[in-house]
Amino acid sequence: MKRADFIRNTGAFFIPLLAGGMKLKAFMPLHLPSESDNENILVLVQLFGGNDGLNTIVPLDIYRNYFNARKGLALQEKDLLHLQGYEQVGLHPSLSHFKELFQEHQLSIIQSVGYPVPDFSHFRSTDIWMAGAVDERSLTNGWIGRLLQQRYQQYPSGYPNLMNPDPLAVQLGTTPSLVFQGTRTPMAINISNGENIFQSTAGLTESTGSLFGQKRLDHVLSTARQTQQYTTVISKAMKMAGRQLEYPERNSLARQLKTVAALISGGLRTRIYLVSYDGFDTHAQQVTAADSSRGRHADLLADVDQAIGVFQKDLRQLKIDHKVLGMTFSEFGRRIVANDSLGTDHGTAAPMFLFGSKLRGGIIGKNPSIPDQATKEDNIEMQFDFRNIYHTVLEKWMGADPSEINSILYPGSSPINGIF
Amino acid sequence: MKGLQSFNGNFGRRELLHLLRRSLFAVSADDLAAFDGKSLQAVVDQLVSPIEFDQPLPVNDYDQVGISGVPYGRPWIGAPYQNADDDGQRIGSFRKWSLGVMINQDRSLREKMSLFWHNHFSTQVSIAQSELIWKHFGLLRSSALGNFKKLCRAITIDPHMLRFLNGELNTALAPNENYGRELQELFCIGKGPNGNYKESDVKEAARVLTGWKVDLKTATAVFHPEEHDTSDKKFSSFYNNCIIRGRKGPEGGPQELDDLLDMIFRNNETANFICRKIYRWFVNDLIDDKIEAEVIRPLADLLIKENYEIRPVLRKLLTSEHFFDPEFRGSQFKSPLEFAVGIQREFAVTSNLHADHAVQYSMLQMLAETTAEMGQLYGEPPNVAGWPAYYQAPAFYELWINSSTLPKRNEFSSTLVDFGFNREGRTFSIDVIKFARSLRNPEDPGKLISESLERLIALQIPGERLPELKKQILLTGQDQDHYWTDAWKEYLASPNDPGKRNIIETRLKKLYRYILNTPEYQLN
Repeated sequence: MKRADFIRNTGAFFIPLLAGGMKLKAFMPLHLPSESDNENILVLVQLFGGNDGLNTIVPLDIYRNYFNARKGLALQEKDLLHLQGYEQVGLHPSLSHFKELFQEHQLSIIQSVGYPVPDFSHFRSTDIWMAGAVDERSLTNGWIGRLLQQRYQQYPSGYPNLMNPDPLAVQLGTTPSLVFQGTRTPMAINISNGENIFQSTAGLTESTGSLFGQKRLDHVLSTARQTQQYTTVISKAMKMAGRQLEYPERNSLARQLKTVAALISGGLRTRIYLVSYDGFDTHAQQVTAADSSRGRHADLLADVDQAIGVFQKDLRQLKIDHKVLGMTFSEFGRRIVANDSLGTDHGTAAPMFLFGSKLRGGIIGKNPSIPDQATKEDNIEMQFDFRNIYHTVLEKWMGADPSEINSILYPGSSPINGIF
Repeated sequence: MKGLQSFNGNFGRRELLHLLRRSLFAVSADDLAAFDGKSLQAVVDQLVSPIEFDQPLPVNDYDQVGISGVPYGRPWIGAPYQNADDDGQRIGSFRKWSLGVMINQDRSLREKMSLFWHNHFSTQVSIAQSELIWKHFGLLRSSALGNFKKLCRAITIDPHMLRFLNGELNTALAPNENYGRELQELFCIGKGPNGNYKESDVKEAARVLTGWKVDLKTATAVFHPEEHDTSDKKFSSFYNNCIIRGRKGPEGGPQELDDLLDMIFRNNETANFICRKIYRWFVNDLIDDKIEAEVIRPLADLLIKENYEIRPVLRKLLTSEHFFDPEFRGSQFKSPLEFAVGIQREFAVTSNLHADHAVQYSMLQMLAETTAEMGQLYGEPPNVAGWPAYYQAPAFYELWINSSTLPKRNEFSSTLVDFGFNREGRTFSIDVIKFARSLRNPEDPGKLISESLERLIALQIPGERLPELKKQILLTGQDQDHYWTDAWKEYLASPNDPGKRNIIETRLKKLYRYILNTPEYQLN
């Protein structure tokens, strides 16, 4: 068993008391806790469908090329939000909270994030981002799944336990994500409204006489057992949560983040959350014909902006903002040239957003380049491999050591500077 | 594990139930009675030959005053479009009606296969127009057991699909790749190890498909030759460098579409891809090299030989040794629709849709909301690839059962047994006595339990726990069976005596609540 199984967030001297003084040696950690064993929390925000990066962060230094490539779709310069000290970029007009967070150094923008050989399928590309790997054979488990599986090798057997009473990861929603799939088992639990009411769990039999029937049965039994046990701690955290700010009611991303803030504030020591929002596959009517600052994409970004804006304010007034880092990602950006349906087809690299009060803030990377006469084939060139962002977050935020990172992200990734 | 050779074993009740569980939305008492004793061939013959679809049309359940132009309780199909709000209500009515159709399904594969195609040609109804939705789902249902290639052609120029994947915006001057990509990635070739079509094939397919529009007045697809890209389309080596000759005129688009589908269906990967999906729908999610070689490939060969007719493939699979291999008993999780609709059918919770539409539709709405909480809202697969439990490796079916959805299932089944759901002054609940009476030997507590398990549980349950179940639940801790038998007979003698009814009802409720909450009940 790994050291982290024992000493996560816990003073070593506490253990003999819990163990009733028995088997003291077996429970002694091999090392004292290091600074890497922190309580930092990571909130992943998935934007499904492929967010149009070029209309999210507009490159003003090449505005003419941008405008020409995106007839009808290009945002007007006068509509864009401007960031102090970064005259070369304009923010989509829906992103007013993002602008505020940026000015307060609570938002980092990383330009043109992608991976070397782009895949234009939503599903394959989503799998790549979730897996934290590009190789086809590696797309069967997730980067967070591997992180947690390494740190808690016996999971789910013996979990929850005294040292780890809380879920290792929590996903808001009803369908488990690949990102939490470990090498053997999913490492997260799913909740939809902060409450799981659970009934009986006992099975009718232990020997099914059916290979696959048995496999399914084991899955239900283990889900049932875990749900029952984790329900208690989740309900408790929801009850213990501090008084929260108002979140926009009709915004499902906001509702998910509200639950996350409640759980953190209520003392749940889960360190990784996933929330998601979809609809970013804007092949058509991405903007209205009359006004490029309005339309589907503007509405989507406004929801994201409000959800994250309120979440961050809420964390601050709950005095837990120092513990939390948020990260948005989407499977790809969209094509440089608009497609004449007032939309954009699948593209490649796009900006990522990190939010949190421990960030250095600012923009990392330069504006993407757009050719003078962009064609339908042109795509945005990657500046940062997404695995290097994961690497940085694992190292600087999650306290992972180099060998751990090496086995999670496979050899070859490296941290990038300027985020923390 | 055996292959596709014809099943040679004993086709008994367990085998029949296995076949029906996979072919229908669970097995009602009437279904079992209708098929019991028939041969495997006879049962499968009936399953692949649906009778004419004769369910009543979806009705206005949303406007009692009738300002929408459709009288309350009358079908809205064919009524003139009013406005977006009214149309949204029709779509709501359509969703409820669809669940009603599953509950009242005939004894064929049609409804299971209609849902299969809905998942395969995944679209969302909430953004659409009711008339187009009605046509789209009518197409899926009427083609459910038909020809895959023909269905694929019809879907490509189906008005709802043309709007959903932006085909109607795809023109020579402004190509839109959306449908051209998904036609290959999600509908025909797939992204399997041999799905090596190129990005250029996506773009060329999009060009073939330029010029199709939707005429909302007639709710039909119309080809506009002037918006069609008439130059030649050159495909990659994956398609043997096939060139589809550009054509002008009103027949240009339809002819090029035929060429495109001929090219895609000439590639064997299309048959492999759809056969894998059919396999996962009916048998199991694991496809290893052996199953690929001995089950998928032969099915795909058969499909090609039969010019993409689906029926022979289903017949082959469902009469095979492979299908009846005991290792596959309970190898699937019931999807939320199979779970929630299945309970209705197993316990005959609702009678039929004709009765009182206000009551029925409001119950169906509750059912729609419940299945949404369990992760499968009919008409709203989360994305173009369908519901992840049918495609997302490695977890597949297991995605249905998690800490969010399992409690919802237990809550739903417990409520149905204990209290029922109150809607419009009526209660929808499981009548445990009615169910027990549909068994062969309800007066014998041991047989009552074993017959109930046979009907409700896909796995064979070994006997050792049954005496304990009988003693604790039906006999309230006693050892002699006659306590139950006496109580049952006394109830039968005076069924209107509330005291006598109560004695058996409380115990049966406990029994069925227990069974429906077991992990085993989640399996199919």
